[in-house]
Amino acid sequence: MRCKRILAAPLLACLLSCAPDGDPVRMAVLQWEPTARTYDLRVVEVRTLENVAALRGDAATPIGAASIRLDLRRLEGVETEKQFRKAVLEEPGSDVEAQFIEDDGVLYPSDFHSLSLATAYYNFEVSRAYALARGMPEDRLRGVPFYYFPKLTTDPSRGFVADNAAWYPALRSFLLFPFHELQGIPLAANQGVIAHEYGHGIFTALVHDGSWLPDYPARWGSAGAVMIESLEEGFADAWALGVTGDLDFVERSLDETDAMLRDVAFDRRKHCYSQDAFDEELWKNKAYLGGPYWDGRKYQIGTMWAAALHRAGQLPGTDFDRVMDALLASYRAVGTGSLADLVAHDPVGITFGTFAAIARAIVAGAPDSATRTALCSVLMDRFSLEADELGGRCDGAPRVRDCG
Amino acid sequence: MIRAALLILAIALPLGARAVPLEGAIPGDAPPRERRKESDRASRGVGISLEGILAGLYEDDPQGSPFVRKTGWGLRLGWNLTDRVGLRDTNWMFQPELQWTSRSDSEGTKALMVESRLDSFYLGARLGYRLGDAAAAFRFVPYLAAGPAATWNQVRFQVADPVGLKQGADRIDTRIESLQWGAGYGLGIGAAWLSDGGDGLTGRLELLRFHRGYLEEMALTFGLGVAF
Repeated sequence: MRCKRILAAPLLACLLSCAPDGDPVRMAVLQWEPTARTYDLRVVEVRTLENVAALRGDAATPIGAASIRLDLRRLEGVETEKQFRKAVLEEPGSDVEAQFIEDDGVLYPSDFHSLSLATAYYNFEVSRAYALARGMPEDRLRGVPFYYFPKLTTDPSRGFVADNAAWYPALRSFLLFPFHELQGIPLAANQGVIAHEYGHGIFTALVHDGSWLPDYPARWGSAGAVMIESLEEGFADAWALGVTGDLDFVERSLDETDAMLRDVAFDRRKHCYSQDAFDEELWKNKAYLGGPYWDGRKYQIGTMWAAALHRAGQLPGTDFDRVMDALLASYRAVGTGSLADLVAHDPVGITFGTFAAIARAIVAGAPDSATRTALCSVLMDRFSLEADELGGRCDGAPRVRDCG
Repeated sequence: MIRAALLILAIALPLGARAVPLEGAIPGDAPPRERRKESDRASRGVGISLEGILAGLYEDDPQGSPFVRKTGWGLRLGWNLTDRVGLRDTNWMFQPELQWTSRSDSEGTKALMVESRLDSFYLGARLGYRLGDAAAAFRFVPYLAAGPAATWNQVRFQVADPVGLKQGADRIDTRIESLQWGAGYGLGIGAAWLSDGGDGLTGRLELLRFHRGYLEEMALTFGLGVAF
């Protein structure tokens, strides 16, 4: 594509500053092209921007040039969110200012960071639209901040965090770190990565009711703690698959090893599990709780959830969007037995630490009988569950027999 | 100073326009022989100057910090019109200039690289005040400058999705070009070392603020060249 157009500056100035709230802006961003199965520069309509140059709107609020220091010594005596923010935000950051050139009514980012920021905003917009379509209330995550390339450190002598992206509930914000070694699609521009992180944000918004500091870690033992961390990762991957349909989204940015750990394509050795196996693994690795063993393993267990949900979405009579409807409903909307209900009322995390409790919540959220049957069939098979463990909603549902 | 202000306002006039003689610059106001004897060395030559320039550019930072620093280089062509606008025999100097500055940078990963090049063209009117004697070989000239500017932007997006490449997709190369109008203004101090005939070396240190579209930048420019 080669374009050349001479346009007067006032038009661009107006596109950037005069766009009424909610009016779509045509903008070139990096997007995955499902037909070509590759990323490409694509012209999209960004619908929720309030300030185009600052790339601020309903979907997200970028913050640049921030400096964050997570030093435990500084957190002594911190009890409120305000105190926490004051303690960790060495430099709170400021509006970004993306630079565009205009061609035929389309805004083209004119440098790498402007493209990265514009793409990140659009990725948040698409992720939010998908979550709203699944039933997330509009007031959740509206205008959520994302720190772009923040300088985050626990100890300045050890350098700054790089090559990662995160949802950080304590700041109710996303963190998109600089890249140093990663040479793939930049994380901020990877729609799957943003949708994954947005999935974490949805989980906090609904399961923990948006709390900046959920209290379960202080109450729960290893079963609940490992389960919630694992399923958060798996559910976040499911959100990424729902938003993009791209099974390879991890590999586009991270290395192949990371991608293989999170591959949802069925692998009996990786995707068939049981409560007994989980309990045994917990018993053997209690000493490593919070350490390197579970840091890696939680993604693998999470992938079991993502793979199971993905499989359910392929069964007759339903689709992955309806499976994601069920997942979102399981967070809070199903009421008693929802994940939010379990987190609030499970005193030590024993119930939450069971696949049956999580599966019951998801099945309860199914929007129709075909989706419920699909979820029952797959979850019973992948996690070796019996129908009577699933609250009567799976009675008579056949197993898919992937795991035997 | 009123004359100076009038000249700043006159920058949009075609360069070849004949200026109306101003008070104090009317021919015959003093004996020609005496005037030639005291004339400014800068007015004795053709009046053209050519400088190479190196600029430190402080641009709006997309990432939100106060600015990002880049380096540009270019050329500047000046035409000394001091006499033609009726400033002969004063310490004032008037010189329109055409300046071209180019800068380029690239940033990204192997999978996404963005290269951008900006060529800025600035038509500035420089109004200065010579410090020291008109006959002196070496002189400093503090000045103000302002004028319209245009920037030619060329951006190249190269995408090489690692998964896409494995699956047979092509590398993608997209180029966009666009012109932005704007203006620049600022101040500086010029220096010149001129022979009796008016040719010699020129240099300057200049701080200009540029507006292009909705973007702004500061340019700290060092220039060195020749006048003849």
